[in-house]
This record gives sequence, C-alpha cells and structure tokens, in this order.
Amino acid sequence: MRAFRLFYRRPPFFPLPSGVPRRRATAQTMLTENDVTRLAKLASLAVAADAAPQTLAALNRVFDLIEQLQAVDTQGVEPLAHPLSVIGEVSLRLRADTVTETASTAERERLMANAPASRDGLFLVPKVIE
Amino acid sequence: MTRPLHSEFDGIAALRQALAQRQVSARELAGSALDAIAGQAGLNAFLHVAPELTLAQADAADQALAGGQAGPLAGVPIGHKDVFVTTGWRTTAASRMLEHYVSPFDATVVERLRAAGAVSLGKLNCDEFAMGSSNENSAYGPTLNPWDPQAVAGGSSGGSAAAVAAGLVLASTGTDTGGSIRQPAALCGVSGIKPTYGTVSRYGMIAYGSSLDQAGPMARSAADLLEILDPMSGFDPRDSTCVESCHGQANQPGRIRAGFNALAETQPDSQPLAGLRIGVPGEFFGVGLAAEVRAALDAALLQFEQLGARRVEVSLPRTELSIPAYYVIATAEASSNLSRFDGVRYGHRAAEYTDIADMTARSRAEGFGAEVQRRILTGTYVLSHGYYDAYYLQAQRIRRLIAQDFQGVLGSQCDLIAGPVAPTVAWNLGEKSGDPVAMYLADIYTLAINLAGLPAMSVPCGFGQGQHARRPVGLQLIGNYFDEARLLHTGHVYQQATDWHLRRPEQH
Repeated sequence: MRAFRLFYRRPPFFPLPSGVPRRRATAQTMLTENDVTRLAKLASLAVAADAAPQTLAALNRVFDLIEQLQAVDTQGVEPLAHPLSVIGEVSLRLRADTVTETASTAERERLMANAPASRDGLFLVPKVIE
Repeated sequence: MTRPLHSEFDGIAALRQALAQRQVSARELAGSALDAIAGQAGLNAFLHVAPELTLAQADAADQALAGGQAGPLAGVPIGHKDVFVTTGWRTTAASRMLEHYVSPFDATVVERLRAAGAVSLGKLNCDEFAMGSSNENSAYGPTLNPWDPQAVAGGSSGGSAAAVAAGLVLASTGTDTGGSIRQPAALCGVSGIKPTYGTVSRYGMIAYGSSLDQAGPMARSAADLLEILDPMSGFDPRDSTCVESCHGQANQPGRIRAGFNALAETQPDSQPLAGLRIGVPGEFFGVGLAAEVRAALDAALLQFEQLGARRVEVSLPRTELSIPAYYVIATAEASSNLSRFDGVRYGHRAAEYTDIADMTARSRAEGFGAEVQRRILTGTYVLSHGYYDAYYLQAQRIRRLIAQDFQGVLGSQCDLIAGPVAPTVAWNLGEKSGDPVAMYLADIYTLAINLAGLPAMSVPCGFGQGQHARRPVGLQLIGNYFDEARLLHTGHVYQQATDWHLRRPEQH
C-alpha cells in the first residue's frame, strides 16, 4: 500500500482545513536501539537481539505518525477518558467491598486450573529469596 | 457441498417460527452447521469447534421449545469471537499466549445469548488480542475471505464476518475497538453493528483498549442484528463502565427493539425514511477513497434519498487526527491491559529462564506476536515518565475535540452520518503485512467513532470493479449516542429496497 504512505506524508491523507494546524516541521522523535532496550525492560518483553533493528524501524514509523498530535493546539481542552462524559457526568461505580466468591478448595482448584505451575493452592515461581 | 439447514430461512425471525412449529429441530440445525464448518475448514474461520458442547446446547434448546419455555433465540446457530471467554471451548484471543486457556466462567455476552437460547458452534478466528485489520495477526493463520480466498477477511473480527458470509452460522459476536466489527463486515459483505460504548457488557471480553472496546453482533441483515443485539445489551454491574440508563431509558433488553418498532410504525410505506437527514462528511470522501468504493457509496446515498431521506453535507475536520490519537490511546491501554500476562497465573510460560524476571520477559516474548509486542512497546513509551503529558493526555484532549465535532453535527445538522467503512475493498493476503502503518491508515473512517463512543453500523452496498468484482463494499452509518434503533431501522429499510445483503459467495 505505497499510496497510503505517500498520502499521509505530503500532502496529508486528507487535506486539512485551515483551522487544523499542520504537523510541525521540527525533527521527529527518533528512537534509538537503547530506547528499545529500555522500553522492552519496562514492558517485561525479552526482545531478541536480532529482532531489535526491525522493531526499532517499525516503532519509528509509528512515532512518525503519532507525532502529528504535537502540532494541535489543545490549550484549555480537558482530556476525555470515558467517551460518554462528552454528554454528561460519568461516575465509575465501585462495588461493595465484600467477598462474593465461594471459599472452597474445589472452587480454588477450578480457578487455578490454568496456572502453568501450582501446588496446594499456591502459584509456583522460580526462587526469589535465597 | 450442501449448505447448512439454517441458510434456507430468510433470517432469524423465520427460523424462530419454523422452530416453534417444530418444522426443524435445533439439533438438526446444529448438526448441519457442524458439517458445513468441517466442510469449509479451509476458510480457517473457527479456532475451536466442540460438537458435543454444541449438540448439548441444541438439545437444551429443543427441550425448551417442546416445553414452551424457549428464549427468543432458541436453536439459532451462532459463533463467538475468540476474545469472549467461554467455559468448555478454549479461549485463545488468537494468541500463543493463551493456546491452552479454558475460562472458569462465561463472558456476560456469551451468558446472555445462551440464556436467550442461542446455540454456539464454537470460537471464531481474529487478529491476536483483536489487534489488526486483516486477521493476518492471528497466531493460528488468517481467515480467508469467503468471496475470494486470495483476499483478507478484514479484522480484527475476521472469523466472525467470514463465518456469516460463508453461511456457517446465522450470526456471530464481534468486538470493535477501532473498527473491528464494521471493517470485516464490509470486506466480507455482511452486516455488523458496534453499539454505543457502555451499552453492552465488557465482562469476560479480553481487554485491548478498555475505553474503546465494545461488543456487537454480525449477521446477514440489519433485521437479524436487531435480534442478536437486543438480548445481548443491557446493564451489567460487573463492567464498571457499563451504563444503567440511556437518556433516561433503562439499559436492558427490549430498549433497542422498542425503538426499532416505534420507527417502523410511524413511517409511511412509500417514503419510509421521510424526514431523516443523512449527513455526508466531505472528509470521508477525500483523496484516499478508492473510486470503486466511492461509486458504490454514491449509489447507496441516492437510494436513501429515493426512500425519503435528505442528504446534508457536513464536516468532521479532525478525521485525520483520529489515527494518531487512536494509536496513542489504544496502545497505552493495551500495554496496561496486557501486563496481566506474566506466565504465573495463566498463559504461556517459557521452558527455560534464569530467574523470575527473565521468566516473565521470555514468556511474554514467546507468547505475544510481533504486532502485539509493537503495540505494547508503543504504549509503554507514551505512558513512560516524561512523555505522559505530551502523548497520552494530548491524545485524550484531541479525543474530546473529535467527540465534540460529532456533537456539533449530529442532532443540529443531521440525524445520521453516512460514509465508507474502509477506503478500499479487501486487499490481497500479505499485501500490507510488511508495513503496520499502512494498515493503520486504512482505519481512517472507523477510528473516530470509537474515540467518541458512538454507535455505528456497516451494511453491504455493492462490489468493487474489474478484478475486484467479487469483493464487497460496505456503507457505514453513524448515529448519536444510544441511537442503535435508528441505525438498524435505516439499514433495514435500505435492505428492503436493495439485495446486496442477499448475495452469497460461491463455495470454494
């Protein structure tokens, strides 16, 4: 889909009306391989060393796209988290802080049936304390 | 190859009548659908079929029918997208991470459709964790488009669309975070609706972008969408963003049906859409739209005018910004949601590791596919220290501006908005898989609707041209909040006057 890449670069995919600022002309965010390593650590993902250049290139293309947001003037605009708050106040419900599950060994075993390793109602992990 | 029994009926209402009169049994229907699924295994629409579970549900439906206790969907053959958790059938989200996962509970959507009597034929293929627009991100291979096996089925609910298009089920469930119901519906020539955010429970729907995710049905017609959406929607205390009321009306089964019936009763037969103002945004008909798609849409818009609707030109000036805003918000929420997969409580665990941190990192790298990893890394970046304001909050501010653009148009200038679902017909398998950003850009017409939380529907309105003559085109109708009934009624009126939704692919 070469056409789409061309469209979104210049001219934009859709001609922007005059009220919408164009992307800023300054340098784009360019990630480095060090950034990928740092992000992979934060995200707890063991990105293979030989896949890092490819991941870096893909992420830079994504950030090239995302960077368009920086050029938009949003002064005084409240961030929108729940879409329905556009038409009215939205409050997230909290449930009563009470136990609702049946406490039984059978129920516990049923809920733990997908664990890769478990014993006596405990999830097993590698030793973390010597 | 024989078609399954249910395909002999015009729709769910006709099938219900035949079942009530005992002209056909739920077990016969289920058996013939299972045979058809096995016969079309090459489509790769289903990820898990378990005949004994399906037949047990069918027998229960037959008993309910015999005892006069049948729900509105008793015996109706459906399938569930594999992001809805199910007891019995595996739930993989089309990921290696959950290859062997069997849920201890049913999603609310699954539970409600089961309670209405629907019979599940199994779990449907999709993009991994619903991230994708072509179904090629499934760890179990892409679903093929029943119209043309060289073409993608669309995504992420590709299996759900293909199963309906191929006639394997009468309806299916899908999820839509950025177009994942509407786009595969368009590419496979079926109908699909994403309802207003908060009207259908997300409980038991494996989370991708929680402030955008919404479940909805896919089926052969708008009339059948109503049959599934109405019992599937309703308040659920187990989903903290599910709404209790819709403009003062209780969010419960019956709401959408009542609205639909009210619209159907008040309209004259000759001009069934008289008074309806359909907004056409110029930004949706710009340079990126393929000529063959535009031609089909122009014909559909003329048809609406012949049915009594009035065409109004409108503007949604921030359409293009919906792409970057979406890919910040969705990836941020995905990176948070997918942090639960740690190889401890469920999911894949690496065979070799040095310590617990290494175990988690390797398990996630082995369990998640490339696109899922890219989105997690992108989301991690936009949420990381020093960038949160610049990316995440900025995207949420633009999200408000985009939602306000719709509110400036819907109601005052028009009742519905019409436009394309996708800029092109289905593309060839493999054509875009090397360039994730090219795939993102093709979501231009659907993303803004999720950012705003509005309801929107896709209905078939024609085909491409030349070598695309067997690749369907979809028309998107966008409504204001809680206006599902108007969308479905408008789609139904259109389908009474046209036959695009009745076209069926040849069997391959």
